Amino acid sequence: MLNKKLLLLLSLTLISLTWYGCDNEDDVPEEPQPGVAQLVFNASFQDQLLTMFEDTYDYEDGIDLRFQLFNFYLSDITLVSPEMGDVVVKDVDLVSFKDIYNAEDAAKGIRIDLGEVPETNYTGVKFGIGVKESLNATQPSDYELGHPLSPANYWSWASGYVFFKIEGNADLDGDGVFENDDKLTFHIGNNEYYRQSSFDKTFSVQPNDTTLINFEVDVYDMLVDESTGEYLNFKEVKQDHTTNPEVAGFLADQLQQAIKIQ
Amino acid sequence: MIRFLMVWMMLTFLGNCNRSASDLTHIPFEPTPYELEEPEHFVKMEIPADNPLTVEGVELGRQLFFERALSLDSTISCMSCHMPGRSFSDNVPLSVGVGGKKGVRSSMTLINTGYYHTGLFWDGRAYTLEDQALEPVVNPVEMASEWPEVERRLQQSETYPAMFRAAFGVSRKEEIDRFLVAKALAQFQRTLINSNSKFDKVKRGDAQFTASEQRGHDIFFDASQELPDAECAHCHIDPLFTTLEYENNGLDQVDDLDRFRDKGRGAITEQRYQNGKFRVPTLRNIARTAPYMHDGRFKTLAEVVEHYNEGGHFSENVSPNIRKLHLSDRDKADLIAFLGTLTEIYE
Repeated sequence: MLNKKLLLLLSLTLISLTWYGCDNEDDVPEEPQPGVAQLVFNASFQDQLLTMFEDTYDYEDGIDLRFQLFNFYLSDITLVSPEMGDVVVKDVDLVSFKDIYNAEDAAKGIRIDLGEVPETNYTGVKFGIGVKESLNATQPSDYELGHPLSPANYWSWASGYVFFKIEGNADLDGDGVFENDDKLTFHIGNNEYYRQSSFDKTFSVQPNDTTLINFEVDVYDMLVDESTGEYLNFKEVKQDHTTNPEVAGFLADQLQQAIKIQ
Repeated sequence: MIRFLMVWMMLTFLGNCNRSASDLTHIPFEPTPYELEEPEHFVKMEIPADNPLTVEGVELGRQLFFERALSLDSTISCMSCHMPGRSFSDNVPLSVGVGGKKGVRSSMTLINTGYYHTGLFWDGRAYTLEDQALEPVVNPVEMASEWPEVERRLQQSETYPAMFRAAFGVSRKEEIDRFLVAKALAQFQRTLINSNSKFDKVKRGDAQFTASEQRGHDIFFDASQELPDAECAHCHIDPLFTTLEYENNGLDQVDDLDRFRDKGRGAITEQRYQNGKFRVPTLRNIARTAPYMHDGRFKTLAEVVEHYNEGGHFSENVSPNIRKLHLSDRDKADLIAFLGTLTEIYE
């Protein structure tokens, strides 16, 4: 009889301990996840979303354009905090619209993951457009496979990276037919074409949250300076590999103007 | 007690019989790490954690590479289409498989494929060397075999079970399977590094280009404003002489992207703007890998250069870097001379 009582007591104790243990486990507050941030880039051509191959865009002089590649590097992506000053969150990344074939993907944009960033309030964003000089002096073999500074955008003979590329076709006579001789390729590199931009924007990064910082880049604005009426005349120049300083400088300046924070 | 002893003895006897048939545990499994000598100017090769290179694995892969038992009628091996003396290609437009069946594409060189991280085959349908190695064995226009049969042959071989044991530690012959075959072949292919051409020696300061080669170099890379630009380096960038991207280089004129006879990359991704695109091949050992293009349509480098000089054929997604080049005969000859400096023979 005593044994039976003892057994019952032991069982009750075990059950209550188990119950308490489970309950206790449930009560442990979840560890807060660090706040993360992403830059989101949407490309457009005036009021149209920018797609590769799919859409045709009206340009100056009755020229129609189609695009096949548009990309640019960002360096020293920095978040500006009143409390912490400038916080550099990423040294380099490539914004590439190469695989944007339709409006749905164009609307989603390209996300540049900044990972975990300090949780605080920010008042702005800064970055360089291109590959900053110290990184431009490196070469792809300094990095792992898949790193943004890959051989695909490296000029070994010039010991530097292509800061941005834009490729496509121009229907120069506007007859609706794109032809073999109407190809456009602009590949701009060299340290003198590195540009730095800063943007005012109030936002905060909170635990358990992903903060999206949205940018728009209008390729029309990259090709046309509406303030002066100057534009890239594809009837005169269809290609530049940073061989014509006038063209390279114009495109570098205009790309800087074309990127706007939302 | 006596009954127990008798049962124990019978079980032990049966166990021994079984082990004598398939047990490999008497063979030591002490794999030796393979020291891969990678060139400093290459991006470091990514080797899967579950298939590290070992001396035993590479040797097994080498044996399997030359093994005809992988094919239906034991007539062809990997080497049949990827001959070492031909930079691991076969010098015919379309490779020939079991029973004389012609493939649909040209055999690609295998050099430096360990560095390919954007897909293998002309259309990139395999993402790793391990995945790639599974396919030719069962492709009806290549080895035309079936994996269960190949596995049976290897398990019953006199030599392979010990090699699989030494390389992968299998305990029984029955553990030899297609995935270990693929792993061994992948290990061997990762050792096929090519980085000692004249171009590399010049880069290292150990050799000099001739005047013609230097001029061809500058035309290739657009390195001189006084010379024309052959636009080659957009896609054939060193050190691998490929960006590993997929491009339409203007081989065929089509009015509708859905009408490419071979859709290439587009057939894999089901993205019509990638129809007619193929992986940019390396130009290393280019002088030894004729004929050229995915269908072997060009017999000589002169034909290739002429194709690009003429600006290729138009289709909606042809690379904008394919354009009329206006090269002179001398330019073309110098370009071909430079291409010759990219050639090194695998010994």
